[in-house]
Amino acid sequence: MLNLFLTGFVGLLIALGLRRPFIWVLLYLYVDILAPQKVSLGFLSSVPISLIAFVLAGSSWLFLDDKRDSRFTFRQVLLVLLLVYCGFTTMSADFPDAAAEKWAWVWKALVFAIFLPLTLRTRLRIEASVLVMGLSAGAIVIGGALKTLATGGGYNELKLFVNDNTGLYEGSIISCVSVAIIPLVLWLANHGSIFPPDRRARFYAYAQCFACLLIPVGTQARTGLLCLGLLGVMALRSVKRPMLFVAGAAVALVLAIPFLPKTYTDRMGTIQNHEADESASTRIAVWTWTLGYVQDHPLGGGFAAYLQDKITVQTRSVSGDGNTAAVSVDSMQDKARAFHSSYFEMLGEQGWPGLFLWLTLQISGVVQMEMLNRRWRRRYREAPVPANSWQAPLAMALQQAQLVYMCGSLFVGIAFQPFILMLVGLQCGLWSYLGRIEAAERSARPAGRPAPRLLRTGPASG
Amino acid sequence: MIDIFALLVTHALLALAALRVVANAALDRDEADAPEAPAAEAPPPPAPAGRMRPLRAPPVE
Repeated sequence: MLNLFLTGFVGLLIALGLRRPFIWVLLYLYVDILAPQKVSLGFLSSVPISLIAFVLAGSSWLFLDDKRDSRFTFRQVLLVLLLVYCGFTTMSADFPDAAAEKWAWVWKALVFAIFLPLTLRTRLRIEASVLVMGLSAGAIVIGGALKTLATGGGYNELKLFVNDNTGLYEGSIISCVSVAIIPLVLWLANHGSIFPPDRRARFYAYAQCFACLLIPVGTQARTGLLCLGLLGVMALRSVKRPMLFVAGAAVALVLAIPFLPKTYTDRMGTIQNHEADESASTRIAVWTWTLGYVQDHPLGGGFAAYLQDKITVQTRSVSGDGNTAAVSVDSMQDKARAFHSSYFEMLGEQGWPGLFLWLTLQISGVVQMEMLNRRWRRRYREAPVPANSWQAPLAMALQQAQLVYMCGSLFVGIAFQPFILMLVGLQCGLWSYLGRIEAAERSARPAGRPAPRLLRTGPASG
Repeated sequence: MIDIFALLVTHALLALAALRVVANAALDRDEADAPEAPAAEAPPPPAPAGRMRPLRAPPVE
């Protein structure tokens, strides 16, 4: 039944794409995020649905779409350089087979991130992409949150639709992504035109945000708590009443603590006392190894370079208090431990050039979104019409999502996570779209005249 | 059961969103977002002789 349902939904999107080919781009977003072929083990798992969606989306843009408004941006060039460089390191990888396995999905994610902005040439397309990403991730998040409420969850115990620790179905990754999408869901609730911001849309959006908050609890991933903390700090900039927000968050936290599972509070306690925690000590040992490795291999060892690491993990725990405290130090050997950090993943696998490209890609995104936010916020102040109201909040939401990701990336190896590369694609699309509008206005305005105060008509209606 | 519920809710919304998007011409042609600087600054058309209409604010969505 589930198989029939998901197959029917995919069939519906393919059919709708015959009328509006952009729907196939949305289909790819949906398939790549939710992986319906893994959720249902029937017909969909026997056809290469991801490849079909990829080909449909690409060919529809190539042959059917209007390309006059498509622009290639600076960050897409960075993505192309990263793609070429990763191809180069894959060819000379220390572990060719393992590297080829990772390359098989990385190149697709990078190519789609390069391609997506070319299709995002209307406001409705940008919004539809955000909506499909939010709802597709929401399916995983809502299911996980309800199970958290029912069972309390647990580290490596929360069962999502798929239990193979790939894509968004890995605890730390879904924790990071679920927090990252909160600003986007709130943007949809306040500025959406497909689902206009009425009571029902807001109810669903707030319910999904609550579900997103529950995911770090259910997965008991420490990354999620750090991401939540950062989002809370960043929210101070976007909320209307910061003091009320701080007071409300404090009260909610105090009220929530008694309901949190003890296993969760115990695990979060290891953030402060990382020396006693084997997982955290292993990370530090792997990172130290990586720094040593790139001294000899500045161009990186290609994908899966971590397979050659040999580390000594030391954990130090203190029992008792004051003069009776006993310190025990345990030491163990380990090998082939993953990087557990996107920054070290890039450094170890792609070397200094790869890390530089990747960091430039991330930091330029934060800077561009900040520029858009400031420009369009100023515009809205000068001409406070609804048509000027959605751009700055979306830029800020995309910036917050990316900063949350960059925070989560400190402790999770998700440098090429397709969902995040889609976010990068969205940022490029928004930058290109708004840049085109601003350029058209500049060219339409006679030289020496100030910018008109009322520039645009109402938003695209749903 | 929980999985089915989550999938049902989100896919219902996804399907509704897809249908609304397909029905909206603004998906492919973004006239509403095109700059209208010259039009915004153009002088208003002259009123027909002998008839005066009260000024009315444009409808707000």
